[in-house]
Amino acid sequence: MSPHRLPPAPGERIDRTRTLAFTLDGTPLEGLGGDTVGSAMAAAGITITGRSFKYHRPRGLMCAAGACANCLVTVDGVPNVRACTAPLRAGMRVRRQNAWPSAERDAGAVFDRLSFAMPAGFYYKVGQHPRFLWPLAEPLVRRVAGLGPPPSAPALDAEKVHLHPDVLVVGGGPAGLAAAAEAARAGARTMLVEQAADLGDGLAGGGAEVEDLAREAVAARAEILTSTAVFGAFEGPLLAAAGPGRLLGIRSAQTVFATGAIEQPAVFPNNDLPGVMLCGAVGRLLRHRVLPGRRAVVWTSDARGYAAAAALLEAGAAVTVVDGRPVVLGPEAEAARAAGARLVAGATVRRAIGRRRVEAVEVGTGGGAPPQRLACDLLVIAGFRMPSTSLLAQAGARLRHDPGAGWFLAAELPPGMHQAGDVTGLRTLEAAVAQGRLAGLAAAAAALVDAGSGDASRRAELEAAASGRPLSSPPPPPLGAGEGKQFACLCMDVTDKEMRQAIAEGFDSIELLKRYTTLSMGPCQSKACMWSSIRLCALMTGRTEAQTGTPTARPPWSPVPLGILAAGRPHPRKETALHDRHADAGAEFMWAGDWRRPHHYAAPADECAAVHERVAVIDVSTLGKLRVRGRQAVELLERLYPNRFGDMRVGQIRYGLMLKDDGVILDDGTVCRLGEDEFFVTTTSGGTEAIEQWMEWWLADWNLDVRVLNVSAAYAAINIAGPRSRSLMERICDLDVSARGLPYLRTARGRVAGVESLILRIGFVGELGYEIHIPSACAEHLWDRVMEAGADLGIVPFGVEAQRILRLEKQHILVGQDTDALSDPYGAAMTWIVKLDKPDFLGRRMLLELAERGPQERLVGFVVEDSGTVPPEGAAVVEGERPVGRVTSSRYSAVAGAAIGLAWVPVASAEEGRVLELGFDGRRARARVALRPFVDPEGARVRS
Amino acid sequence: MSGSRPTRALPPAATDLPLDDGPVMRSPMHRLHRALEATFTTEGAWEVPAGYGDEAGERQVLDATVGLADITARGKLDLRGGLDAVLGRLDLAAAPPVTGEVVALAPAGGAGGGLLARISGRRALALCPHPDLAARLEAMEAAAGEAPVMVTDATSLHAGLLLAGPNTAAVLSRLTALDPARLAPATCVATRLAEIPAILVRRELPGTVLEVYAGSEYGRYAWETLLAAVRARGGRPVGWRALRALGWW
Repeated sequence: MSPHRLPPAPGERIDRTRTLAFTLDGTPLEGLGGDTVGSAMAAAGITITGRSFKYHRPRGLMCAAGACANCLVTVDGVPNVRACTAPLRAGMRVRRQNAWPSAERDAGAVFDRLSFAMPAGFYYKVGQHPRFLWPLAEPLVRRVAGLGPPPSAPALDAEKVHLHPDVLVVGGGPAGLAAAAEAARAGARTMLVEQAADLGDGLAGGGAEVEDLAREAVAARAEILTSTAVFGAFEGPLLAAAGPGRLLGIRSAQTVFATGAIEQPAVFPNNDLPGVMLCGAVGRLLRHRVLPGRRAVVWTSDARGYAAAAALLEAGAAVTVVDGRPVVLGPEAEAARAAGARLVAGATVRRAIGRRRVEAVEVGTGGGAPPQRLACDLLVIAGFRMPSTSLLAQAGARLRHDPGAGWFLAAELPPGMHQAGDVTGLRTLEAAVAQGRLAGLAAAAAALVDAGSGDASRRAELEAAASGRPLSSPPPPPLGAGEGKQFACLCMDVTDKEMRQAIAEGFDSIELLKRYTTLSMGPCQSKACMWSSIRLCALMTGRTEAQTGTPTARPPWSPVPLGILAAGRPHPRKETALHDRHADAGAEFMWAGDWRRPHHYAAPADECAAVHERVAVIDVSTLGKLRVRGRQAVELLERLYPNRFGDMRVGQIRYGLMLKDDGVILDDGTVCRLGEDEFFVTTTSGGTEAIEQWMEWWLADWNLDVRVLNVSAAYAAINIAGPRSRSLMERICDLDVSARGLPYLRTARGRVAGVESLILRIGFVGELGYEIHIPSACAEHLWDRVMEAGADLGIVPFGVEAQRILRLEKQHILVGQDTDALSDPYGAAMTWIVKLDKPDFLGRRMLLELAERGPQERLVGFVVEDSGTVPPEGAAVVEGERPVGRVTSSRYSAVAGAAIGLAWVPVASAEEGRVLELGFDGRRARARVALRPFVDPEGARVRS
Repeated sequence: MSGSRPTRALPPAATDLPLDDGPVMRSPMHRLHRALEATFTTEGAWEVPAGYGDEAGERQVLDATVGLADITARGKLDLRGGLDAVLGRLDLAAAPPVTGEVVALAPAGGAGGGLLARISGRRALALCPHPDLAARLEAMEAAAGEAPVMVTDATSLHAGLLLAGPNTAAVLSRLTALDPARLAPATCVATRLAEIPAILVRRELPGTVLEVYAGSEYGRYAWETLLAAVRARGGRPVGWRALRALGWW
């Protein structure tokens, strides 16, 4: 057995029958069942748990409660695991972080000696001048500083769960357990969440009481979740918690915060040496039957320190108690003396001494006496415990400094929030339990309509027990004295000297100080440095702690793996009713917004050829489709669009370009008049929901008698295009689909393949075409019939890529692709659509101004002179070295025999045949402006 | 023309389709059912999954864990506009519903029963057996009369999924922030489920029986996502035969 492992004792947390083999930095070690990684390392005599973030100083177990970041290790490739709380498993591969070649002899320790070169605000100063230095310095800084390598393994397989208890209790100490028991007994669905694996883990004693309270809560049917940390409180109220493999979103009617208090380290030279430990850590290690040191100095001013001293004495350590009080009385002190402890009263620890772990402490007794040097391998700090109010503050509580408690407490709670226990200021066990019971009763009464007010006499007893001022004991001095760095923030290696320097530079508020020095911004999220930081800031600025205040509390209060945060985030996808038919036809799919669409089935050029020469079909079900109906439907459209709709006859189709009120192009599509008061409006695929909301928003404002329904998903749509499309339609449609029977820009209802359909004569791809809308449940039936009937006509399906080429040949714009947040119809060469003589429409005022001063840019077609070059979308239009425009769309067109595209150019360049110079990828290409479509410029084919 | 009788100018999305051959109306999840080796039956003009090879097992999960069924073929009518003027004229088995309530549709004009779920002050969803849809549509359009209400056949607009069984709440807790305990029998709500918009309708039946309506473009995604959650809670897909055996259809 390891010499650091103590003999068996009642209540120990280890299972001596189970030996767990693991490796530390490749060295085989053994621990026992029930060990944490940290306790197993300590049992093996490992005192250095890793190296610090900036100065690479050795660090060891300090809190053993997951509050500080001294023991971050990489476990099986996962970085930043807190060794002190991670349960040990057989076969674990543990590596200490931020050290090379080893944690014991780390080459990076040289940075501790170079600290003069890393002043406060280091990131804003060093390597910045001359400017070429920073690109060289940054990779070095990133390599040397840090928190372990990112994991190479896939993200955790985690799930997200939404929970809705009547009462949520945060914290599994005595107050929390009492609250949960009372709330559950009153009939509320109660859930208690505790971040530690064990309830009451933070208690130095009180184990039996906690077990009794836990049994009481479970008997009352409260649900208890351990190893689950609430890391954020959000509006709602929503509390986010992370547990093993789970992200919890908890929306409770009432919440009791029993988050306890967190032990705080003291600030003195070398306060970061391994072997400097908080009182609770000693208790935890002893429960794992590990002796943290053989010669201990316990620095305290209250009973907790004496309890730790007694436990160490019982475990066989030699103990010296350094007590700040000049006169030490009381049973604890007498018991410690009787057990063999040496007592130094009226003294404080000035500094710790040692290289890789604490070897001695220097103790000052005041009154001009020289400091004493006490040899030791363990310094236990039993000092201030800071009420853990961060989650309360995140939830909206207002914090106010309480001189009695020596800290900021929640003075005003938002509705539905309660607090109990040490978070209200340190309490006796009896008072904390009474507070918890009262909070549980109050929460249940507020959550349940039929909850009674409870037994009045019992309530009075509880109130009496819960009353009184918070406990207090003299805090240690804010700073020590002597040689060595004094760390205010252990995570980020921020010293008192850096704080002083930052304040001298003007960063003298706690918020600025935090940002400039990174104080309290490390993995502990201020759990181990908030108290010291505020005390030092107050000291250095001459303000009180109350005046200094606290920085804004923000999530995450506890560390959360990114894999947990990403849990339960499915990626919704939209698919048309023809998706399987496309897959059967060998389509290569692409994302188009949330849609999965066929990019192509065969070579896009061949698909284009089929459209130009034979017949082809494309699934356009993704188009937005809105049913607009009502007495004032015409009025609505007239106000929404710049063009006219009142003069449309039933059965007519008109292109519509929708503008925002600043005249910028918002969306486009077709408007079909189906009846006197009914229209069928199509939108872009990606704009459907936005346009529906846009219409509803204006409808609410204008109060028109119109209803709008987004029927996009109800109707599948296919576009049959090509010179043989009419022949195909004649075979499957019961209408006269001739040029006379169903001319261009007309719509009609008819049966296609036996399915009642809405047929639109439009042609986005520039050839004779029919767009057929049918109930989506019949889509496969229609598709199959179309493909059968068109087989001998040479029909093929075509995808989005071919469609993009074809529409470019016609210079049809894609809103969002060819337009941006500044594009107006004049610049987009769509002046013809604007009817400024209409009384009003969205954007009219801006268009009036634009019409007067004229556009600065124009969207033009272009053809590239070098037939082998296709400029990428986003290529610059340049004049000399100056970018003056941009390419929005470009493709190779077999019909044009060259690359073609659309580009925004200065108005002066928007002349037919004008040479443009395009710049991209360090190259140049010449193109000529083409103001007319490349295919069928007169539109004869589409109208045929 | 103010309040004129609805023109029915859009093609109907469901019943009155004299198709040239066979049942061809299918839910977006049809291919997924085939992959699960479903057998199919007809429901009006629809082809629906009858079962997945173990009807007893399917009924058992509805009692013991949770089942998921594709009920897209359920007839659906969207009513929107000034509903207060119209709901009183509909054939309802109870008083017109307020927002969030679901009431039964009384048999009328040859149509059997159904449900009317009032999703908001200006929006309701009527649900009925698919063969009754045409009659229901006609009746509701007639009831709308001159009122500023639009009635639309929304059968193909929504994919319909049914969740039932004691673990339904556990499944929902993985997919929505809504508190399932607050969704009482005969209530409905529009919410987000698995990150997409959805309408939840709780049937007034013993146990938890929940109909979920999502846009049919999300149908396959919704089915896959819900099925994964259902399976994680010990459930499985359930066909129409098992639902009919329980008298739910």
